[in-house]
Amino acid sequence: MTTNTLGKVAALCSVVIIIGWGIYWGVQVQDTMCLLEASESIDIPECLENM
Amino acid sequence: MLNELLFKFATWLDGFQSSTNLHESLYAYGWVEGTHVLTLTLFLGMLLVIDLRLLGVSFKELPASTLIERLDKPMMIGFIVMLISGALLYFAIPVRSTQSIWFRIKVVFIIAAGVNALLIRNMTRSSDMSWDNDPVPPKRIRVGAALSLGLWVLVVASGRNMAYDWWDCHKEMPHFMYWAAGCVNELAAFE
Amino acid sequence: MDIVFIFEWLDASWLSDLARTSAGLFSMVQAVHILSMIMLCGMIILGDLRMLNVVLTGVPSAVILQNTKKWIYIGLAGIILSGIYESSAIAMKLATNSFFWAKMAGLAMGIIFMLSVRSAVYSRAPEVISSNGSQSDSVDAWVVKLVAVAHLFIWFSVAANGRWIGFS
Repeated sequence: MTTNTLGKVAALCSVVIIIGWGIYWGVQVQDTMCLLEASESIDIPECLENM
Repeated sequence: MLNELLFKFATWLDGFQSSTNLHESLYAYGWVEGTHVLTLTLFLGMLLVIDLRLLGVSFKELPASTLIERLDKPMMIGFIVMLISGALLYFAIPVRSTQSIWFRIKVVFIIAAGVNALLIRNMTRSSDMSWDNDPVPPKRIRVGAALSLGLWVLVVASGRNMAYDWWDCHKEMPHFMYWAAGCVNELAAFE
Repeated sequence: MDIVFIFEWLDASWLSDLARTSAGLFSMVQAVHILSMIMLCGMIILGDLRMLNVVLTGVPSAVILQNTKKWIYIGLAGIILSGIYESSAIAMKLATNSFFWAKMAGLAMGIIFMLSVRSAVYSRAPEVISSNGSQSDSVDAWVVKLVAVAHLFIWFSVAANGRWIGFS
């Protein structure tokens, strides 16, 4: 593999990893906020249905 | 007596609504504890590198002073985060923490590690650092580094044991343990 | 591929019996797990922050990365062995725990990424980052930094998911 190709592959892998884990943590934070909302309110929040 | 004083202080802290809120929170306590554990990798990770160099085991190509001086900042950032998160954890559950034999042991080891760190710092400052480029530093420095690693291992282990209730005040244990853990109410019941 | 049988086997093993009966031994293994994490992640952080030019700038990166290798492997061995011991105590619970699977995915990803992309890119880092002496054929500096960030992100996720298992 040439250095040029390595650079492109590495950059692509890194971007996919960062975006992938970013989405994962985004979902975790969203679910956390939803559960918090559910614990503090009497009504069942809409977000619970989507979880 | 010190136990009574500490118990009074802990009970006073326990009275704050924010203490209860943090302890009973759905996620906040978990985040604080998670931060405390994860920041260990920064604080003790950097210290590990420095101690390995001072032991003459690794990073021998680099002058010891380079690692000591330039890893100091990230290490201290880690240490400050550890202190803040640790204080918050204590604040959330002050009475149990104060009466936890493992917490008391942990604090003693932290103080010992701090004293050891100061001694090493004095040793490096007072010496002309002629050993700076030597792969293996003088014996005194190596002993200090080994002690540093050993003490922090004990800090981590005793911190981990805090979660277990083997020696909690409500348990039946030798009289000495009630005193060591500061179980003030239980000791008063004996009399 | 159904791998639940591995967890069923672990759950019924002598290891699981030992892990569940002796709380003192279990806490010691947990301490080993944390200490191994400090070693593994500490060395990783040192290497990646160096390649981000945040710590020890100007110090030859090859020296730093070479020295961290041994401790990364020792840390990995410690963390995996202690992890298996800890897992055996709650094997069936973990089999259906999403944070555990996220952690394992991260662990696999981290090991593969570290040994392949990270290693290859760091050894071809430009002089402005590596300070190893001029190199004829090097990757761009921004690629090196992107790899460092991605690597830190993976291992942070492994540790954070690991901690979250404890809360779930």
